[in-house]
Formats: sequence, structure tokens, C-alpha cells
Amino acid sequence: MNLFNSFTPSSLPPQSQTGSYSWFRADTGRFLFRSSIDIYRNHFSGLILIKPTSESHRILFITETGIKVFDMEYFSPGKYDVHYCMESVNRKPLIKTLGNDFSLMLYSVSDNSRIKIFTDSRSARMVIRSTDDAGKRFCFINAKTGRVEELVKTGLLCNKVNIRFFSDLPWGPDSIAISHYNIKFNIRLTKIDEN
Amino acid sequence: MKRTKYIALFYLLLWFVPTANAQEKFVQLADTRNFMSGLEKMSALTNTIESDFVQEKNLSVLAEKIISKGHFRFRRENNIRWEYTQPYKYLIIISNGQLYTRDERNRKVYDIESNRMFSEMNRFIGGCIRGDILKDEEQYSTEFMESADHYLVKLVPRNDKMRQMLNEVHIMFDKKDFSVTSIRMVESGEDYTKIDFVNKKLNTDIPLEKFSF
Repeated sequence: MNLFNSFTPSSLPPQSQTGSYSWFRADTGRFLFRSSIDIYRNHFSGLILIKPTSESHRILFITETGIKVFDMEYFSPGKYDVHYCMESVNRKPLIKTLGNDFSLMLYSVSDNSRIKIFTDSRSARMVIRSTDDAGKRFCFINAKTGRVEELVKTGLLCNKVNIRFFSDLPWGPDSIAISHYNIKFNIRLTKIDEN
Repeated sequence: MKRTKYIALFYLLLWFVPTANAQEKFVQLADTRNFMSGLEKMSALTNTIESDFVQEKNLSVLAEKIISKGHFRFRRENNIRWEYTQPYKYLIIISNGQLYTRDERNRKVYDIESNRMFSEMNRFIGGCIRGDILKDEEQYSTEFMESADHYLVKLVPRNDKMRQMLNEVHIMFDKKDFSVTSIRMVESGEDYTKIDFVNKKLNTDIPLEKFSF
């Protein structure tokens, strides 16, 4: 059974740019999330700060008590630098997985990707299939918010990563759930109301 | 025995005072013995400490601050309850060699000595709160300073690995009563976490149940 059988080719609405469907753009300000990362039997909790700038996105993970765990800067899909990572969590597979997952979250639909547009007849949602350095993925656009609601990254034989964005309003996700199909690696982000 | 004395001392010191002025000037402290004996005297009188706290995480490169608030409780000999209430809820209890954490979704209990990272973190954070870090000359070099209103102790980790995480720790005491007014942990890249203690109450009745989990 093909997950994408219900897709019919479509086109972008007039004057739309694919990048405008992403949640994290240069003009969106900072986001502070409560984070919960579960890797196999290990659990990490803390705060994640996401700050988009005109040239990059910065993601910092700190503990509730203020200790910095990692600091990453993202420039484009799949391209990022690790400015700092606490020694006890500085493992190559972990950093690579976090790097790729956050890259997908930030650049769910990038302006540099090769895209095809579909309509999903089951949910009536617009679907953007995009391909770039971060791989091939399907982005489901919420008609109400005009932002990505769900992202599925596909591999050669099966789906690899699923990211769901939860919000009723277009200016920021209330929560984000990142889950892997083939490994026990899940990230849950919940927005912190600082007011 | 002497170490325990200093630990108790420091707890006692946590009785609160207003935040220091960031502009005040500090000079080298000439007589550290007077300072240390002042701490000891205060410590002998304190069994419990309660205080509100304001934590400011300053991310210098991004010019961003994250402010969180909560409540701190200590009961002699070694029970600590560190509770964040705004803008998120998070609870840490250290008691009987165990560290308990609770957030909205998870509860965890760690045997402090069985986990190297927790052991290190607990030694450091607990050491700052209890004050025994002032005596840990093997791990930290210390510098004592004073202004008109405050004593300031600067701690620099000797261990390279520790220094990758923390460049310096500044602990500030009020001169009038030797209470701790703030702790500042300076990281690499000049990011820092500053914790100000306010509304402190000494020797109130804090039941042991507050430290159970």
C-alpha cells in the first residue's frame, strides 16, 4: 500500500513562495521551547532556544538550571556548525541525528529545493514534495495557518522521520513532535509562554 | 568535620539580601580570615533556609536572556529543594544521596554517585549552594574581593574539561550579614547564568516531607 496514492498533481497558489510555509523565518523572532528528548532508554529534558537571523538559525539547548548543552548554527538544509557541545553528550551519531532533524524542522520547505505540488484527496491538504541537500520529503500544509503541519522524510525503502507542528495560529508552533520510524529517537518541544 | 562546618555555614548564608549593583567596584580582599570566620559564625545559627530566586541565563552572542523564577529550600544536614515555577515548572530534590527531577511529563530518580555527569554537576551546583566549593582548592583556584557592600569570591576551575563548560564562578555575599546574594556561572564564550536570592527566611519550620519524592 502506498502512503501517497491519494496525491494528485497541483500547483502553488499565485504569488506563493515555498519558503513562506516554514515556521522559522528571519522575521519570526525567537522561540523558547520546553524540550524532551528520548533516545532509546535515555531521557533528556531542558529548554531549546531557536533564534532565526537574516543569515542563519541558531539552536541552543540548555538545562532548566541554565547549563548549556549544545549550540548549533544552521545555514541551509543539511548545512550546520556545532559551536559547542557538552562533552558528555558529544557523540557523533547523536549530533548528526540532532543536526539533521533540526535542519528538517527549520527548513521544512526551503526556497532552494526542487519541488512538486500535490493535493492530498484524503485530507484536502496541499502537499509539497521537495528535494534538496537534506533529502526528499513531503510537507503537508495546514490551510488555516498556511504553515507546515506535518513533514515526512522518506528514505530509499521506507519513511525515516516524521515531524508534526501543532498550532492554530500562523506565528509560531505551540508544540513540535519529531519521531523516527526506524530508531527509538523522539523529540518533543512545547512552547514556553514567557509573558 | 571542618568541611561540614563550612557547608552548614554557607547554607546559613543564603539568607537574603538585595541584588548587588553591577557597577560597583571591587578590590582585592586583604583579610580573608575575617571573611571566613564571619561565615562560620553565621552558619552555626542556621538550620533551615527558604528563599525565592531569579535565574537569568544570558546568551551573549545572541543578545538573548531567559529569565526563570522559583523557590529554594534547604534543611540541615543535606536536603535541598530547588523548584522552578515560572515560566516553566521543574523540581529538583537532593536528599539521601539521590537526585530527583520532575517536570510536567517525567519523573526521574538518580543515584548521584552512579552517574559521572550527575556526580560532577551535583558536586558543582551543590558546592556553590553549600559553600564547600570555597574550600575545594584541588578543583578551583579562588580569588577574594570586596566592595563597600559586598564580598566577591571568584572561582576558576583548574581542570581543563571543567573549564570547557565553566570559565569562572562568582559568588557574592552581603557584608552586613554574610548572606549569599547571587551566584554567577560564566561559561566559555561569555555566556553566563546568574541566580539572585531574594526574600530569604531563616530557621522557619520546613518539614522533611518537602524533601521526599
